[in-house]
Amino acid sequence: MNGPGLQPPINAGPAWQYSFFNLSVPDLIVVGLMIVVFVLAIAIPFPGGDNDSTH
Amino acid sequence: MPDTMPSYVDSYVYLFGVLTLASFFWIIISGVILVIFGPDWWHVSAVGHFFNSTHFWSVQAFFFFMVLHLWAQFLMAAWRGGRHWTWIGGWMLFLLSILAGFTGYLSQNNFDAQWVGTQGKDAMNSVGVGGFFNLLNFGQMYGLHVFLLPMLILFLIGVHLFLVRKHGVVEPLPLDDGYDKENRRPTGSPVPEGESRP
Ligand code: HEM
Repeated sequence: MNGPGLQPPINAGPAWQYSFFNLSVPDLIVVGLMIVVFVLAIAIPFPGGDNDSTH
Repeated sequence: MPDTMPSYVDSYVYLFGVLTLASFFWIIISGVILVIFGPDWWHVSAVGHFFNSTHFWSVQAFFFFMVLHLWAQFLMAAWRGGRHWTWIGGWMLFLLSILAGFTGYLSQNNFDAQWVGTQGKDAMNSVGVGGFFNLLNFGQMYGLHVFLLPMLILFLIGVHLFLVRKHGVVEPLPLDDGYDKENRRPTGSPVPEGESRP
């Protein structure tokens, strides 16, 4: 798209590309982290979770 | 309004909403400081850089936790039991937040902002809103970013939290253990005519 002399000032470096999807390495790291945090939030038991119970 | 918490909220997934809220709090605090001193300050002084960065990273945390919150609410179908306005309001918050992030990008007043503005204006023109929503108009973008959008988001958060308090936390989805107690057979197997128990 751009000639050798014309580069966008924003350059996020290498990116994963598929069809119209375009995710830079930082994007992929964030998505990966989100999945990890979500799984941990479900998997790790909540402290003091077994005392009360109104239900 | 319910004043006790059911035992099923003893899980970290229920913290994503309030983590989003905490991030929003820091966005507002750092944003107000940026507004008081302006771009000539946040681009050149060390303290300005600090608050600029605080604002930026609070936004990263805000979207990070908002998306995790959205996943959690989606996977537990939290719109059940008359909670549809909580869900729809959440979506409005999500879309408005994207607009706030976008106008914030344009408000940086640097080369990145100019690049985004000149690229984005063509997209706006192509859908016919460029005359009304002009990305190259710094005053318009800055005004939307520092006043109108935050106020709308603040209002919608208020409604969102009120609705959560009003309805109480949604019950977990029924456990599917492969056995349909109601009809006394494996779930999904056909129930012959007249044998169904309402
Ligand atoms: C500014 C962004 C948002 C803030 C500050 C926020 C805050 C909260 C808080 C504190 C709760 C209660 C605790 C919890 O379950 O986490 C909640 C519940 C809820 N949120 Fe959000 N939220 C936001 C965006 C969203 C989005 C994007 C969605 C989905 C499209 C959403 C859907 C819901 C639903 C359906 C509930 C009710 C859950 C229930 O009744 O158990 N929210 N929100």
